[in-house]
Amino acid sequence: VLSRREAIAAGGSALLLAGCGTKHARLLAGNDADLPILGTALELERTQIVFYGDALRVLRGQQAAVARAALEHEREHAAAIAEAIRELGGMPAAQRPAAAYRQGFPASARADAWLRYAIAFEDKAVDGYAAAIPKLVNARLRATFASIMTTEAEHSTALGLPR
Amino acid sequence: MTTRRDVLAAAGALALAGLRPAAARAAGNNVVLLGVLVGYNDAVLSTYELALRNPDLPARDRALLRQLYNQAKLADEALRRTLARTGATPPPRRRPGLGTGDVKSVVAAEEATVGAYYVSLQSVPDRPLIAEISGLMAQGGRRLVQLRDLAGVAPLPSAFETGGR
Repeated sequence: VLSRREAIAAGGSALLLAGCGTKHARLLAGNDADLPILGTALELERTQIVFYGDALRVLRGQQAAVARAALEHEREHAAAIAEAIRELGGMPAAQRPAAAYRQGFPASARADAWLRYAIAFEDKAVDGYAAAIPKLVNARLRATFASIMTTEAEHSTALGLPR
Repeated sequence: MTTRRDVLAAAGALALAGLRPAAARAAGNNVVLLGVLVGYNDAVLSTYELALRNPDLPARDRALLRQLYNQAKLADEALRRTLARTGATPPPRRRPGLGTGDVKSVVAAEEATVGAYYVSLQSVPDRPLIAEISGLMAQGGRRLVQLRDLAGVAPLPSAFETGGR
């Protein structure tokens, strides 16, 4: 049987789950130890932005629609991460020329090659975020990264939906 | 259709019913949090089970829903194992009955659960648990894409998947 105190504690937690997190956890309480991880994530997102820009020249139909949505999402991720870097007192690294981000992109103009690459790239991004999240010091940043990771996982799954 | 409030009420009630005070004292807030997350997952399974009983569900959709249900069950089992490792006794599974038996109810329950993971990550200090919860959240997102597609709604509604939070 739960004591009154324990019931209140458990109820409070349920209320916490119900009532909090109504906006993205972007406002961070300033530990700058996370800046290196944020810098790496920003470069990953920039690479994805260049990738989807290129992929949209090749992909058609439903896959192109997913790629367009993903491109918009990656832009929002990059903006949020850059904002988090500034909030922690850092300065986002300057964007490199697009060619610098294109290493490893498919050489083929075939849509299936770009689709396979896109799915693998998203899965790799998920792995990267999964490794980074437990290392983050700022709890709100952890939640934001998890929402980004979940969105990357969704991109991978959406790209693989039957046509 | 199942609403977020239905899922929350079900999850909270189940968590409160299953937790043992001594274990909660020993393992701190993780026990309470895991209990709530088990409750959310239980509510998810309940909506799948009701949807799978729907005789109007086309065979192809049923096969996909069954596959997603099995994945959601693995997530539920993983959380229950983690909860048991703290010394707490996971609550018994509820009987099916949450929702109206349509895919949109399953979407609502999965979204509520992803939202619960998202909020919980703002308070969990324990690294292995952070890794587990964030991994389960990503898996939930993958299921949501297929469920939304099945329900005929946009599969990628947001750049930041928070289950609507």
